[in-house]
Amino acid sequence: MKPILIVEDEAIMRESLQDWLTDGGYQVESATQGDEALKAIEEQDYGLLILDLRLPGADGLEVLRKARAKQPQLNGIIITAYPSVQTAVEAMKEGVIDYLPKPFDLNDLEKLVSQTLGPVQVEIRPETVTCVIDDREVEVRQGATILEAAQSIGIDIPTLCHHEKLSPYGACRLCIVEIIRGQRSRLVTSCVYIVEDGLIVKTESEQVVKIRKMLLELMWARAPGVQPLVNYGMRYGISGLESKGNYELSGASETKFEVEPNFCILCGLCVRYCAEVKGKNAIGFIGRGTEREVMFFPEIASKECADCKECFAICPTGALPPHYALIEEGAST
Amino acid sequence: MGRLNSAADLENLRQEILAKRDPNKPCVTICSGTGCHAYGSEKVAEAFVANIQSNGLQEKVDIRRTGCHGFCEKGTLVVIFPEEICYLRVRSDDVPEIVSTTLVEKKVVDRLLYEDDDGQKIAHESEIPFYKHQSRVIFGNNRLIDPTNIEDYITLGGYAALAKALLEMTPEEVMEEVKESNLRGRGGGGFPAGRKWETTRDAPGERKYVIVNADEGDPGAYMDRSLLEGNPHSVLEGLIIGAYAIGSHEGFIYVRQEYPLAVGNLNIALEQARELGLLGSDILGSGFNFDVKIHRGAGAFVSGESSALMTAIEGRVGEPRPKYIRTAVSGIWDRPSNLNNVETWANVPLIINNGAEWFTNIGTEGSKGTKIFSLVGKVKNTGLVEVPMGMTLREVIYDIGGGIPDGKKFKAVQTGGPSGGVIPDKFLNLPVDFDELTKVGSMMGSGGMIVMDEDTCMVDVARYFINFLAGESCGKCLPCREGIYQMLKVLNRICEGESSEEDFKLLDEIPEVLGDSALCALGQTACNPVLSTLRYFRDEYEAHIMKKQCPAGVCKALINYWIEPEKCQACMICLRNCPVGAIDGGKNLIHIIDQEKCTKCGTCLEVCPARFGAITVLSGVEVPEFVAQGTEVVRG
Ligand SMILES: Cc1cc2nc3c(=O)[nH]c(=O)nc-3n(C[C@H](O)[C@H](O)[C@H](O)COP(=O)(O)O)c2cc1C
Ligand code: SF4
Ligand code: FES
Ligand code: FES
Repeated sequence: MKPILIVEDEAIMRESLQDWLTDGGYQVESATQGDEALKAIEEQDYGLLILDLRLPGADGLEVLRKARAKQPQLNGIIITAYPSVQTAVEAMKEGVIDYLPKPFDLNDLEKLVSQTLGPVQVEIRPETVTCVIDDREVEVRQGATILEAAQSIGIDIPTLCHHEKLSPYGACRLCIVEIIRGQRSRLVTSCVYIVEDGLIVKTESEQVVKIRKMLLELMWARAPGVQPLVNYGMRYGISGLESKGNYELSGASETKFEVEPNFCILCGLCVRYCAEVKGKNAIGFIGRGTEREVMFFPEIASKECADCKECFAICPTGALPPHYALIEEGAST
Repeated sequence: MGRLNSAADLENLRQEILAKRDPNKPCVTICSGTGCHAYGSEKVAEAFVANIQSNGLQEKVDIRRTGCHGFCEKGTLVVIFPEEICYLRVRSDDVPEIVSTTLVEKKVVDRLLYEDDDGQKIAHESEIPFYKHQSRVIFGNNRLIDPTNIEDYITLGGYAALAKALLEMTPEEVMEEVKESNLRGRGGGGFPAGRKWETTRDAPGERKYVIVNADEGDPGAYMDRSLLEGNPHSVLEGLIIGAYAIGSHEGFIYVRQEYPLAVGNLNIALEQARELGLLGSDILGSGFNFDVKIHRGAGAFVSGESSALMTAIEGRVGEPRPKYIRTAVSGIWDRPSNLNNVETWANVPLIINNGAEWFTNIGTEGSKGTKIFSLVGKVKNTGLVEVPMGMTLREVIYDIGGGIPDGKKFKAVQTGGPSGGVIPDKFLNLPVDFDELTKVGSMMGSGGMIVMDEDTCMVDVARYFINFLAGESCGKCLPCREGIYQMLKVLNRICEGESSEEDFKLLDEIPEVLGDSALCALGQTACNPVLSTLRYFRDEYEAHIMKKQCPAGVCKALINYWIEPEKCQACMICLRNCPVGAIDGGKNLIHIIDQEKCTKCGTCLEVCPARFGAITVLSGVEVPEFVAQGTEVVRG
């Protein structure tokens, strides 16, 4: 499929269009000005131009006209913040696919794109790669992470910030594994690391276990007694972490670190879920270091969250209700 | 000035400017760098303008405001050309005398000259020890250039390297030259620049970016700032040459928000370069197009990390990304992006002009060229110094820095910024280069060099840096956020006398886990200050933990101030100055510090006249109790 060229001088619009369509699986390039676009068209064939009507130096229709001198079948979609009957008619005469006044729904645009270029062929990469995880050979599709490869043969690598529906985040570091190439070994986070052919992976090496134990203890100091930590505590036999009761009974920690709970491990699942699945961005992070915390943004949350609260279920520690309560309090005062 | 369309145009312009200028005409250069600016350089400059006018010299003397000369501590610096007479600590009141004595009578003003340890006055800049032992190939032009005037840069041969690269060399040849020079990144890691360029050039994708890292998050360092403020064109020229070699047409300069003067001077530089056709389309008539945008960063330490910096340029929160693919291949908007430090870029024009061989003649086997250091702490001369790689620590600290003030003993030097390490005196003869510093457990980093004397507590030093890093961790990944925090708690316990031997275990375990598991280099290297102080000063840790003693007498919880009865002269000075009234005594009565009331502010120690020296800092021992209140002094 030939790439799409976006010609738009406004940076925010250009980048968001580009991101959107790239995420949709299209190959997308962009230009900020007419002559830059024409130069690009000079160098390669495009399947579709998305053109802002008003561009510095030239207008979008003119760019399309000139481009067609080189590539007569080239399709165009015009977008504009200054719609008028005259330009719309002119555009239609030029044979553009559509004329979209801003703001428009990116989903609509994507539909038009897919009608024009055909649906993105999910690139079926026939190639697979083979690696060895904990002495077992696994064949997985190219592009799979170590975590996915391990899961495919039932090896359970502990994770806390990973969710298959969400983009990889690499923050809890619990999924760390050891990889070996030749004489050298290295520690990598398996939820992010892409498998290469011939890779050897140890998911529970001595060093890996040592690191996981300390990470769990560090987390426990913030979220003592939460179920996933209790489970992992039992799995790794960390004294003080095997039981929720222990902490609740004594109120103290027998672990290395003094307990100063806030019950959020900052795994970012809620933040990514809200942004990536719900597209709302009602919750985000503020602050740095140990001051970092999640926060519902009142302007958005007061409108969007009452009927959703789906993030509550995704949170491994159950930390969100008190954060959300602040929004409700804010609304009632 | 019109557009320059060839190397000949550039050379003609240079000759034209030179023809206008008389090399023997006196020129007063006033450092207007950030340091001198703070000392009032603008007032000094205005005074020169006014005085030169009132003496009717305006046609006979030039005035130039320049960037930082490096000796900021002695600002405002004024250098008078062509003799290069250097005046230090100049204030606007001094200006009339300088004008009448030096500019009119051609004599020097003695009292404003540098004075060495033997009381000898030194008039010429190049003879001042601080400058004499440096090799200022990158930084030296700062003092000759008004950064807002591109003509100054061009007269010094500026943009000749660009002309050479674009018009006489292929991108491959430029790349080869830089690779051969073995230029290594000045921003921290010391990665070979040419190899990184090549990776970006060879990475798939039409659009590639080149980026200047001017985040300069290291709190003690300011060489990048001084270069950008004082000689912005040198960085820009390097960047354009790099873009040409890599095949990039868009660049970014990422400057921290807190550097307004750098941004201002850069903007002027970009505009002037565009006007002359040195930036933009068809540069110097070569057909090569390239332009740059300035991105003003939030100025957090972690923003300087490559993936965080690129995320910020994309317009998102500047946090490190968990990717195992290098930014040189997939950076800004997943396109190949080559990032180098300010000083790295500034080296490029020199390499193209003089050739890789010239460059490799400076420095050591593995580290070529010079490096600018920010020399601070307990050293007589502080400031920015540029030395060839391989100069020993001793030469930097003693020959250039003038040694340790107040007759104190050298204890250690900390290099490499917050996550660097300390180097004890047994390594004073260590040649300073990337590899040697790493071997002794420290690093080059961005070139910070903090000298410490015998009154420094090494546990306290580690605590200082860990505290800084705890505040700078972005908080995204768990080991960095919580690990540094726990490390800080351990160090606080040690300094407050509340630790036990158990803490030794944590001192070993936390760094190991952090180094192996943190997401970005901030977390991975955060424990270096602890590791390196432990390596060389374990005894101090042991004294704190086991004997509750701070050998350097720094950690407040572990010390007591005590007045030695035999030395007290009952002068009442400490007694009057103690802010909490903790000192008992009176005329002719030996003074006694009430340990319960004492807040350990150290005022008494400071005010006790040196000839008495009656205040002692005790640590790890009981405060002696044998003088009764009301004991009279014995005068010997
Ligand atoms: C926490 C952190 C902070 C950094 N800060 C800076 C900085 O302020 N300036 C800089 O040039 N490089 C900084 N770096 C290094 C950059 O990531 C990168 O390696 C460098 O800019 C590459 O340029 P060079 O090869 O020319 O040194 C930092 C790295 C880390 C991990
Ligand atoms: S190591 Fe520290 S600074 Fe780097 S991503 Fe993790 S939390 Fe952020
Ligand atoms: S699951 Fe991989 S870092 Fe959290
Ligand atoms: S600012 Fe003047 S010498 Fe540095």
